[in-house]
Amino acid sequence: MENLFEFRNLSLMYGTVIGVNDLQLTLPKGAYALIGPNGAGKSTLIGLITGALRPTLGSLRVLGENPCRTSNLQQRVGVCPATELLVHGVTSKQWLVLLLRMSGWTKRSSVERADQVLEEVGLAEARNRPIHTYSLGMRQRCKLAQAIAHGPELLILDEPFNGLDPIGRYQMSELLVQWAKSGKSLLLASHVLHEVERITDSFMLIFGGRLLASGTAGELRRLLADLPQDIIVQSETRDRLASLLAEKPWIRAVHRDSAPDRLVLTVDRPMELYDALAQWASTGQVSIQRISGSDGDISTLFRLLISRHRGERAYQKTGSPS
Amino acid sequence: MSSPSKDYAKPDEYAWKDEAGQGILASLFRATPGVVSYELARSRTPARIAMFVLMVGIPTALLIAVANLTPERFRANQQTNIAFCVLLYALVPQVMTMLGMLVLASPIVHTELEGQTWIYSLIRYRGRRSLLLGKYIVAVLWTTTAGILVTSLSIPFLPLQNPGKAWLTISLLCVLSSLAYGALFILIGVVFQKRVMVISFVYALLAEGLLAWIPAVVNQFTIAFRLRSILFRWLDLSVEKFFRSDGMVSNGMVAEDPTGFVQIGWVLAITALLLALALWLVERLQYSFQSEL
Repeated sequence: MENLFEFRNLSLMYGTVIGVNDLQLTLPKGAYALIGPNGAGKSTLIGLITGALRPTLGSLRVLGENPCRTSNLQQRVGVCPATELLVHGVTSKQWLVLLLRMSGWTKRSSVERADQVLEEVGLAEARNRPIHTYSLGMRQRCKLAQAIAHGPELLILDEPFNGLDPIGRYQMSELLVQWAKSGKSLLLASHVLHEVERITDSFMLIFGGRLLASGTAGELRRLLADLPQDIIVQSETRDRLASLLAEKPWIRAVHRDSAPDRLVLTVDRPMELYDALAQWASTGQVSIQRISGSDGDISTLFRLLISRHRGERAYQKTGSPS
Repeated sequence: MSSPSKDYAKPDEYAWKDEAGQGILASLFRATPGVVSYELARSRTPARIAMFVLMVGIPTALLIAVANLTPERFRANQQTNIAFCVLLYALVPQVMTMLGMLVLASPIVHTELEGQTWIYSLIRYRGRRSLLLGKYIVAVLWTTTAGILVTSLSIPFLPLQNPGKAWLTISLLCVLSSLAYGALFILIGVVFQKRVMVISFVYALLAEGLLAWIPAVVNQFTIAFRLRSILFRWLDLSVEKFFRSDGMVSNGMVAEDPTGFVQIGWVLAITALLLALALWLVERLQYSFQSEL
């Protein structure tokens, strides 16, 4: 079966600056979120996927085709860029008709399809208004309209929620959820995690041009369990627990919290902590009232991965160990 | 936004294969008229119309003023006829058309990059080529129309011996000049991403303004040489009288082509070559528009 993406040692340099660094990944068709802070390399990767940029090293295939060598791929991919839509003196309908005709559509089909797609994105009533008079949200929807107008198999969106009000965000999310449900592929680049978690369960975390992690939310949470993190333990036998923990090599720091029965632990291998706590509790050495780790969401994982990538300590906010 | 699910569930209705499963030329012929009509609709702005009025008004006023200043006793003179034919040629197909194309054609890619709209043609099937070709055609239409208008408005006031023939020749030269200079400046605009207008202007000044007047083999590589040769041959202008030397043809100031048709062929061949090169390069060059995506 044809894969959505195949990256083989994919790298791109802007002179001496690394845009994308040695990506090695194969993904089947589906919906994916490309998550990373601003400047992480998301847009560069999208540029490579669309054929706008050529890799300095390595190779890539999108829907089984090399984007640098074939223009047929452009008919199968729709792109909604992150940049502001700055088109003056034309209506959204005129603009859409132009882009459809540039895709090789006849005039009649272009006009029909432009009307249809503008209705889909909720711009039917504003179709004959110049784009420069649109609000930011309307321009965002106009960009989405051009991306889906030619019926692509893969929709790529770069920061599609930028500039949208809460209602607009909800509507955009709904639309993308429907798109993903229809069985078509989706690549959604964003720096806001919670916005994309509703749309897809598959993530690629990118930072500094490197792919830090990829997988489903479940896979990433399992990965989270293996990364250094802070865990808060509520125990009536706090001092005994602290002394037991202090001997363990995977404990980086033990911090007494202001609450009398709480310990804040910085742990290298959380799974080993959970095993040890279970064993001590079952043998009656300690009593455990509550364990609350990092919140377990993808953003925590992302923060931890970035910290590791930067060579920082796992967690900085615990204060000095005692 | 309305619920889109029903439309996404039937993608084949608007599948690209039905519409664009065609060859390069066929898709270009389908896409380019779309760009032309879009650009024409978009270019009817007060600024563009004002520029057009200036393009037409300034050379027309200049030509009529010079004609009015010519003493009556010189008006029937053959030398005056040559001078006004050359002045008309220099002002309209040479300077006005060349500068018009420089302003309209050379920044095509640059404007798209600056306006952050390049990405939208980049991700279209033949988008870059159809955009370039469509905008080129619009630039040629604007400039040629302006050139023919200037010629039509000014010729009745000029002391020419054969105004009809002069109108026909200068109008043809406007068309040829727009086509060739447009292709040249588009190529410069495709190759250079920064300071396109400056580079185009310097090239126009050095090659078409200076090199074209050097009586040596090198001037045969310029568009101005071909256009000038057509002017002299079609209007039966005496090369010897104008240049005050009978050695100018052999020296290469005007082509040895008694009909001028070979020169038309040359101009069209140069146009086709430059345009083909620009269309080939625009699909292959990587433009720095990182902020675009």
